[in-house]
Amino acid sequence: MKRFSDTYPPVAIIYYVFVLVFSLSAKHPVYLAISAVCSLACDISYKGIDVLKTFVKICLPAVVVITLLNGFTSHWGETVLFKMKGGNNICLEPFIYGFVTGIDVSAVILIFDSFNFIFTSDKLIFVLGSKAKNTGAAVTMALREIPLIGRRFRETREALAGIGEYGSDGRKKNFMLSASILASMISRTVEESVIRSDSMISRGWGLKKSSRYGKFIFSFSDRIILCFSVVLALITAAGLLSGYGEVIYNPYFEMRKTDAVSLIFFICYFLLLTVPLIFNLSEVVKYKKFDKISNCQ
Amino acid sequence: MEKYNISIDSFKYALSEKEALNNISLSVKEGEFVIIAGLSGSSKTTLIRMLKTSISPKGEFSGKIEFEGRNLNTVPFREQTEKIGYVNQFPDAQSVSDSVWHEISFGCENLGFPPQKIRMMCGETCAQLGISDLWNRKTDTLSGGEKQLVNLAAVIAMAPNTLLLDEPCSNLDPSSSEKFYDAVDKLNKEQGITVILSEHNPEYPLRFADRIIFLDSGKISGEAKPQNIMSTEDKTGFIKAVAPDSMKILNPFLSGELPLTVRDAENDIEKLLSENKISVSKSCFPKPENDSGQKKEYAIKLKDVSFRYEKKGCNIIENTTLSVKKGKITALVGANGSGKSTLLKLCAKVYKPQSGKLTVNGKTALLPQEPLSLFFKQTIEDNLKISADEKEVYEISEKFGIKNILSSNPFDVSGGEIQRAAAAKTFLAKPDILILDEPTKGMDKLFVSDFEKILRDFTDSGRTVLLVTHDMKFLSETADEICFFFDKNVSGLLGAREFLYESRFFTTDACKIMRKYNDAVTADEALKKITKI
Repeated sequence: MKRFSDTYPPVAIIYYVFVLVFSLSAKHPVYLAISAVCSLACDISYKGIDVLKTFVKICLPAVVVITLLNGFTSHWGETVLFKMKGGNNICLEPFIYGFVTGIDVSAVILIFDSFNFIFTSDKLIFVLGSKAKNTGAAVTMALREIPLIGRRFRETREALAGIGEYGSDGRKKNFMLSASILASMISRTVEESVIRSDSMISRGWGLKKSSRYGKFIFSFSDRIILCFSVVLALITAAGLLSGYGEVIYNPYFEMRKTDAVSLIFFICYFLLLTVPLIFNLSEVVKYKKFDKISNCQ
Repeated sequence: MEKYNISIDSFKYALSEKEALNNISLSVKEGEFVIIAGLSGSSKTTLIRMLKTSISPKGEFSGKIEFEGRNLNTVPFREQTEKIGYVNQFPDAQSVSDSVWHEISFGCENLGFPPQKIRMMCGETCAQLGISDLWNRKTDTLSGGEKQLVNLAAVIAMAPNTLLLDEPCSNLDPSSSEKFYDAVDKLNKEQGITVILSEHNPEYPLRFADRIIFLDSGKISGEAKPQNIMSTEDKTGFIKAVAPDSMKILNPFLSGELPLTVRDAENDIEKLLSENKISVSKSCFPKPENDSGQKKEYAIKLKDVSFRYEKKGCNIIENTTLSVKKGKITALVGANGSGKSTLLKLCAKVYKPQSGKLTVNGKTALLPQEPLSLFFKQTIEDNLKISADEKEVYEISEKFGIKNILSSNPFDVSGGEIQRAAAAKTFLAKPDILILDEPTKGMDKLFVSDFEKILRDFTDSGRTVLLVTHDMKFLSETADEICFFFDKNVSGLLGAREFLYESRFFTTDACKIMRKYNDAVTADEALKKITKI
């Protein structure tokens, strides 16, 4: 088994589409709790314990803000907590809805974070290159240009500081100078596009019957991930469509059809979201075994 | 078979009155390595680009260019793409992708090769050029030399039989240029790829070439085998400026072919000595006056200075102590990526050291390694006028030979011209201490000797120069003191002659040739020590 971050790019995209669709569409607290916990665990497995900093700095405040915002601005619900000065009811149900929405948003942030980590620009080009060559070329050039403009901008500021033309005249002048530099970087990019187009054409850009090269191979592990994901996604979808994820927040909070059968769908959804963890952990176990064997030898 | 048969009566760019090329007649054999050499503005780029229709300049053309016996215009686009590779002088501008692997496989994809074949072609090319470790890197993390090797690989992966190189090393430092040309020579000798190279500084690739053609104002002014270039007519002084030291030293004493390398020159001197045709003096040049008793004034003093860019990163400079004397030209040499440029930026007060003491006595101006980074306005003149008035700008442009490009956009001029313009801009800052990072990179050789004089005049007025360079010839003519930068620190400062004589690798070819006999470090000095019998 290989790490999930080495998955064949289209398989990774299919997986994340499933995960995002379910995270965004399922409003049942159990589904959302699974989304949040599993996406946090996956993100930690890729990027380490530092992800907790992101969680504390961004996700927890998001949950608090959305809960309070929804609670105090929405006045529907059966369970009245207190009345505001203007006569509006502050009810429990909007707070609950706000809380689960906050959890949902946090889960989506963490899912996108882990997606961003594993889905590098190489994989994006690989996916686009097969279906949309021109778009793929435009994306790859944009991915190249943006950091290049940034680097040149910093080099120019540094170079001008080296001859005393930047940094010594006050913030306003520096800001104006930075704007001029940025404008010149952009016009330089436009100028260079002529040279780049020559380079592309001289290497055959525009020839019919071009092919696509990718570093990625669709292996046996990718087949397993794909089959596993599809089967679990289908079962989860069946559960949601059958009403096993239905929940009411307005005017009262009620989790409908939450019984022993819904447990099956919860477990399937949990397994779907832990696919990356399962593959990453299996690799860790394997390497620990190798270490033991090599230490014994 | 002839690879190219070129017969150009004239070529004018659209909307231009002046002929860019006139009466060009030459042929290139299969497997030949031909250099087209000339000063900036001699139309080398125009000629090279005419050899592939997809990059040919537009204009009024009269003549005929044949490729493999057929009119170039009748060779299909696909065939030209497969057979003719082109690399230009802009490492950044000609790359398409943000990943090295995608850059190298780009051409093969366009030609429609199956993925397994592309993998093999790219893998072989990377192995041949020694860049397999760069395969998974991002292009913006590469150095200039690495980028140009990747650009070469991107073209070679398509398996061309002809390579057109348009001043590929004009934006690289000498050591990166040497690596690039070594790779090109390997392709020529081991694969039989025909190479046509345009260069304004052909000194290093001369040893690989079969023939060199000199271009002057769009016309061929001479043609010779590399060993015979000193016998070619040299109205502009270009040949004398670019000829290697080995040729300059042996030219008065040998008729016929002259040596291109240090080893060949040593053998020739031994042979001439054994035949009693020359004598070589073993006396040393007078040492500079000992100023140990005099009070020294220092322009820059570093004591135990350490610096790193990021809080959690490694030190780039560690416990470095260096004293740069006022009124002298001090040079730093060392390997690429060792931290020399960082040290210059500290001295220019672009960054502050994290520890240690740095004292700078006077106003500094730094010429960065990337000269274009000093320019952000529309014209060169506008950029120069930021810190100087019109009169000063015109005076400095006369001195640096950039009067004819003042109204040009900085991104439209050649590498040599922008280097001169950047140097001029640094001088316009009126510094007490000039800090130069690879100042002769891309400069025309004819101007380098003028630049040496400008620096001498600068220090004669009591001001100071601190520079980093790989150009040992330039160092031998200008530097007063040299030190070596390695492992985040400097070695002790030595007098220039002493350093060049003691160093085995960071020295001039003249010194390597004459080391057995005396301490000459330039070709002119060597000639003073050799007498014809």
